[in-house]
Amino acid sequence: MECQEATEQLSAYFDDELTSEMADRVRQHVASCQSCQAELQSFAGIRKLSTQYREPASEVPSWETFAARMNSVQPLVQPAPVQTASVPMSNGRSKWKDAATIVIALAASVLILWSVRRPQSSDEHAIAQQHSHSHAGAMAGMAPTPIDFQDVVLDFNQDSNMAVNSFASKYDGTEVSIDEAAKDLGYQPQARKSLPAGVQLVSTRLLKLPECNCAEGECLCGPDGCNCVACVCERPDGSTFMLVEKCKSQMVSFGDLPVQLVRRGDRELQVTQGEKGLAVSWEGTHARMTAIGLRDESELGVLLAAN
Amino acid sequence: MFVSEVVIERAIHGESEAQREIYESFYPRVYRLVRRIVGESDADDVSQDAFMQVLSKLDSYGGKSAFATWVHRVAVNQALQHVRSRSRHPTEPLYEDSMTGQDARRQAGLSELLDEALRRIDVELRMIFQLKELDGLAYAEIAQTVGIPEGTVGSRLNRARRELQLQLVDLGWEP
Repeated sequence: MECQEATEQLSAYFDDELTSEMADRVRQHVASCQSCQAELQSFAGIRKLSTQYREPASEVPSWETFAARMNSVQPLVQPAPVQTASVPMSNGRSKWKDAATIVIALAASVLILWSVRRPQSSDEHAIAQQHSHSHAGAMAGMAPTPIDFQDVVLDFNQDSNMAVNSFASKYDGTEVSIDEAAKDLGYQPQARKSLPAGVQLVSTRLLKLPECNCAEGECLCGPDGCNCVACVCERPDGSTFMLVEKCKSQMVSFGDLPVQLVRRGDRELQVTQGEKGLAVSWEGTHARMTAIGLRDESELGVLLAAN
Repeated sequence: MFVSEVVIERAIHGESEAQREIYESFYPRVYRLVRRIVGESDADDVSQDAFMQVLSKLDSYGGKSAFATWVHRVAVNQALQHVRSRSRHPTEPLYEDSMTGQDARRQAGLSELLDEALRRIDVELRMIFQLKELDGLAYAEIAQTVGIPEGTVGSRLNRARRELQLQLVDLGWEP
């Protein structure tokens, strides 16, 4: 084994995480390599130091203290020292500032709903009633698996085209014209009806998403699964956002990403931040809408107004 | 640190006692994880935010990993997001002013020495090192907690240990 290869495996060797065959090969190399021996000695010294490490004691806030905080109306997102809520972004840093600001603005202007299912007050009960369709499966112990958008949000941070292609590929996406999409869905997709000023539809794909649990007549799913649509919309500066329309019964998850539930009018929005803006999901008139890469609250406002 | 599936199911359905059991079982560990990433001053706030995420997302726990691992992953994500947000909007240093080598030698405490060296290395390397050396997790558990491929854990530990060794020597450590 060459020294470089052994060096790459040293931690795994030290931690006994290699197969016996690979460990034997590393061991043989180390026996004749002073450099690797020294490195292993260093690892051992650090481990010895770590075993003597004492973390400071911590006090657990009582459940009552935590529950009081949980029940208070308080945004999860750290307040950022920004002055405006919807100034167009010019660089990466201002994008983040604006994304944080939008959530804060949403939080300030509407009631934030913790989705923790604590015992419901009468007000909360009213909220739950409004969404009884969406949660009916979960309450009956038959929760459908949510469509997880975590990967597409994370991919969108890197490359929006790659994110859209990857998402479409995952769900058998077929490129169609907007007219074909309207025909398939039975109604005009959002991207046909109303987009923010200057924004153009550049791509439409029909998707086959699983887990449609809509009651008969509530959606237009065909025998092969949900007829859902993903549209890519392009701003004048060439940047894009994605808009997915799908069955109302298909719940949406953003995986491990921090999510706020925000009430806007009579709508409940799931909101999370990506590096290229907000990802938001809500129940629209015909479908559950999920937008990835929205840059400011005005863009969200246009989409909400039309749905 | 274990809660049964029954407790998780009850918590999903809003039973306060079940949510409390999860909170009290996992908070100390979540707090330690978070404190190592965000520092002492923000640890309580971020830990509680992490728990709000845990309790609000219980129904998305799919059982693919151990429940504890899933909880820790949510906490790590929350803490890393906090650090990234703070680095974009710096208002105060993550830690108090760093010690010089002389300061470290004067303090002499081994825990303080390791603390200071850890503060000087990248937060993600620090986290992986701590999951291995302070928590004793296997590579597979570290990979699930941090959300990286298992094969990447060893290479990051190599970097963490090498950078840590340089910092420790700079602080006057003699193995």
